[in-house]
Amino acid sequence: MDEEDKNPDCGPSEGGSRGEERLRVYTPASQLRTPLRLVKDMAGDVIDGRELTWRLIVRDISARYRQSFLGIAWAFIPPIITAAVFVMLNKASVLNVKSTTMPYPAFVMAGIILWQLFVDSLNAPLRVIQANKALLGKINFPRESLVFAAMGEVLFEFAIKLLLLVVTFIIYDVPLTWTALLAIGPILLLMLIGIMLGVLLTPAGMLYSDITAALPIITTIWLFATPVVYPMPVNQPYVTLTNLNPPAAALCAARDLLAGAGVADVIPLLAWTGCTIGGLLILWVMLRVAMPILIERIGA
Amino acid sequence: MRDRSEMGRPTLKIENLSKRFCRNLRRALWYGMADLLSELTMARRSSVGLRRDEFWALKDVSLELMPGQTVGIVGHNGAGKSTLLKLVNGLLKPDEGRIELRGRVGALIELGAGFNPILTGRENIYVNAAILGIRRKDMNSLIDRVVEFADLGDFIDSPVQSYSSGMKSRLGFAVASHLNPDLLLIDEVLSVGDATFRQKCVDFLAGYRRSGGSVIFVSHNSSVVEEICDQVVWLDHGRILASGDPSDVISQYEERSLQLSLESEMRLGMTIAAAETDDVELAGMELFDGSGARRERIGFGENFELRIGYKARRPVEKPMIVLGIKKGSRMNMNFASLETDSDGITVGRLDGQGQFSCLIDSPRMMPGVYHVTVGLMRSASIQTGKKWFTQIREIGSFVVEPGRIAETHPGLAGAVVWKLPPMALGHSWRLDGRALTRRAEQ
Repeated sequence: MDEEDKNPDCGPSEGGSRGEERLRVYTPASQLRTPLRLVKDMAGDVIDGRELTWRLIVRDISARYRQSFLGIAWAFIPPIITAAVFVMLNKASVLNVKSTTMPYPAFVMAGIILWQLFVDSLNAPLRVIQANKALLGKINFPRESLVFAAMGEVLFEFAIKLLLLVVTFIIYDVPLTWTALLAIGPILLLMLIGIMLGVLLTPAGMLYSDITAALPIITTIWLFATPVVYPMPVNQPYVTLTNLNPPAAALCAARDLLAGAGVADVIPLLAWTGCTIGGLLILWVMLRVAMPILIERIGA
Repeated sequence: MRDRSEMGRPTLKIENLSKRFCRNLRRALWYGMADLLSELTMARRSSVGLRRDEFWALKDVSLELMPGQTVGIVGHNGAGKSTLLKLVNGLLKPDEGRIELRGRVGALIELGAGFNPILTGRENIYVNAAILGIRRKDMNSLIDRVVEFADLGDFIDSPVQSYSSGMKSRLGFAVASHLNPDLLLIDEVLSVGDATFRQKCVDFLAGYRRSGGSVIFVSHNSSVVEEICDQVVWLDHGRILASGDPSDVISQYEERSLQLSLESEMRLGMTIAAAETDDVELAGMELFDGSGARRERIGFGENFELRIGYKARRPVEKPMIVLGIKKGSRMNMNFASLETDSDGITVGRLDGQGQFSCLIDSPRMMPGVYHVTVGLMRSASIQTGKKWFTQIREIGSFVVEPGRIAETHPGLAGAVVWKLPPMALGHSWRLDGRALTRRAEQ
């Protein structure tokens, strides 16, 4: 008797979809030598990876809050504490910030939450790849999905923190207007700048743990070099210097727009948008080409 | 059921594939950075020799697999089997040669990789399926079949961290097997789960191959490889030692395995470590034939004697000698267990040094390699506290050669030694009450 008759569910299923028969070739030559195939593979993986991206986001977010007692409160506690510290420092005149577009507590809260978005984005690529090391070494799946999923999580976290910001704005009488929606542009730019720098660090960070160890120190110092708890400077050469700091322009623009004010200077914003789009495309190719080599070395 | 078998093109074509690995971690990371730079500057392939501390994990491996075919990979640990699968799966980049793949690749390698322990089994099915490339619309129609195949009962809605490792593997296999790939890579995963589930997996594979799916099958279990594969490749230190017809390659491989295990056995025999707790140390085992001459091999049907030296650390009273014999792999069960107590014999007092031996008359042990375990047990009647004077452990191996087997078993003269069962029973055949006789006597 045919085994399949006995066990109808044992045969391969017809339900699993097979795409058109895709020929894959693996050779020692650099993938950059066949750019057409590389681009085709990249596009194919993005399409194949949509479902996976979504699943990974759902998996990580639901797992995170399921095992936590305070749950979503963890999104609120750190920015509240940080903002409180700076407000007190300012009150005690240790920090001397005047002439902000809105009350200082609301200003700091907006700055901290946006800065956190940038730092989360910066950490995201390396973090997500480290967390899924075992998976990367065992299963071949669109690796891009991991980074996309990390972006989704970062945005989700940010969206929760926006609630906190709205409450702060209401408390300090900062008017909420529809023009605040324009902030979405700079916010996305801020995230993408973080992701771009994060991807840039990923190859070296996968091989050597030094990068992961150094990142928190660097971001702490970076916070003070960026107009987060103080406004955009108005004097040269500090304006130019600040504009060269990747997250600065986007962060300030986002904060101003959230508070209903206009953007002071659009040029650095546009320049960084161009750099980010170009940079991300180049880095995407780089990460893709580097992945098999990295996986080999981190002990697949 | 779709029919892939008519496609004339190979699912997989591997040409002169080589891959080098590095033994030293620091250097490996450094080479990684160097490879990365040359890959990005497209300057790779300047040298394909070995750098310092490197070795060939795979060298000049070629292989072709048609739709519906199954190829088995055998080899000892470190032979390059898993490396080959990783290269085919696109996880590693070849250093030389070329791999061509048609269609989708599925891997049953690490079952349950990517399970999140906090999420339920059902939630994890969705995630795992997405990782393996199954779309959600297909998944919804498949989920019931996956759940049924995994057969986890109510556990399917419990967090995966409450699962046993067998349950995790079952869930993993259930998802991966429903991916329906053109080429399936299987690495030692059929050994998971209980017998029922294993049978389910074997049945599943049979159906999959009939529908034209190709399989690369890596296993240490030679009989399974021989049973399900159309061709077998024997890898040794990264190179193909033999490939082709399964029974040919497997018997060569098994012969070599026997030889290796025997060699290591002979070395081991000299240095059997006694445990701290043992009251009596046992020295290595020696094999003697019926006339008392020392031997390493014995012919089929010949009487033999196993002599084991002892050295009592303190005198022991009435130990019970327990001697087990198994054939082939050390993993096998003892087929004979000889005990002085069962024989109604009381061993007196062991004091100082000496030797005990066991004579085996007119044995019907089939040709092959045998492993012997020995222990000294306290007789049940006086058992207080400790059970063993000397913990039972392997003490030596010996080989039974075909010898004059042709006289009694003409059909076995050229048989593949490792596949024979341990014992031949004395027997005769009858048909309708009339004795059947041997051809030569007719």
